[in-house]
Amino acid sequence: MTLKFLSHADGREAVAKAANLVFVENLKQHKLGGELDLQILLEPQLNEALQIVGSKGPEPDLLLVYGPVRSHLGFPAWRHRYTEIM
Amino acid sequence: MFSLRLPIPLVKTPPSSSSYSPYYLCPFHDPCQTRGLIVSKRGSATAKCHADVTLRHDRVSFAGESPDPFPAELAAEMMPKHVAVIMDGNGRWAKVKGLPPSAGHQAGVQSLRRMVRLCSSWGIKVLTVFAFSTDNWVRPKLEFDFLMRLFETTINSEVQAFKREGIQISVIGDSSKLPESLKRMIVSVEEDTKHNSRLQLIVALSYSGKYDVVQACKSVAKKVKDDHLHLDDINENIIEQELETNCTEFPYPDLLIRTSGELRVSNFLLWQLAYTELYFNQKLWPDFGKDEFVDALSSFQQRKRRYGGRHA
Repeated sequence: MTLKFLSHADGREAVAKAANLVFVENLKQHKLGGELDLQILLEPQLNEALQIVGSKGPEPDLLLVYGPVRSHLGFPAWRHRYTEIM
Repeated sequence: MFSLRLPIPLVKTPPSSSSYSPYYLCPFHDPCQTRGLIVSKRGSATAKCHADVTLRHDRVSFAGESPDPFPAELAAEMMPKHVAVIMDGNGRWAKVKGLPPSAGHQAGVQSLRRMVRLCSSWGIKVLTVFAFSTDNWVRPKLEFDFLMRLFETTINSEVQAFKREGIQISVIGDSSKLPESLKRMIVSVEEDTKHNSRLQLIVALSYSGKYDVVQACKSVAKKVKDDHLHLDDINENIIEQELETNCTEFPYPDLLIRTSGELRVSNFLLWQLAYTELYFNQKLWPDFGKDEFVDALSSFQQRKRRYGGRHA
């Protein structure tokens, strides 16, 4: 069993950092004479970038929310596309 | 994100006959994420003590047999531990004598033999020689083929002497483009001499400093990607562990000698030469002999090394 502790930095902050990483890499290639590919921001590239910034993780099947709030409170959005929330 | 891997198995029991059916969590078997490596870098005092002990032992053991007694004009305690050499000028040496380039390379091998013997006799621990650069692939194929055969015949003829005289051979560089027979020979000679400790001879073959730094960065990037390393933990030590000179206890040359009068380091050990004393000699490599080496060592011993600090 693996127990993972998340923080605010693993949510939108991590996605922004990962996207910036992908963009910087693409800009570097453009300066080297390569084609500036606007389609470069694909899912595997962002997954790889999230891995590099240290915030990639598994997609949970079930998300439990406690208390009266009706929000996921910043849980990494990238990771719960098909997650059941209750 | 912080990750803990617990040695607790998930027990899957069949659902009971009760009207409340329990939920089963699926296990996620991600590898544990290492946030930091414990990197211990040997202090210079420790290395120095070790070197002193080894030096004394060498002199006691081999002084009687040494064909090259220690030069009177040099101080034993100020000898460099690691000497690097750019063996330049073989082709020009042959040209001025009206010989083909291959004769220059053969004469260069004799110079290298002499240098190895001198380093071994005088207590130098590591000798790194720039034998063939990745930038040398543009040379004519005939000369390239001759060089590859020369490397093979030289290694073959010297391996017994290396074993007998306590010399450890390490080869660094991008070996992917070397002939298969040479690659097998390198593996064999490194294995045969790995326990020798009098002198480590590092041969840079198909090597360049830029290649070394790039391949080290690739290794580090792969570790980050595989979750063995965190981005914020990358520092100089991490890079240094991945450079190809990690095969030696003293990866940073104290003295670099370049022959033939050129005043360049020519993409040799770029990262490792950060605080190395540089010495340039006009002689072509086949003519670089004992006297020239003594001059280089004498020059080194008069240097005041500062490592970024001010003069005392």
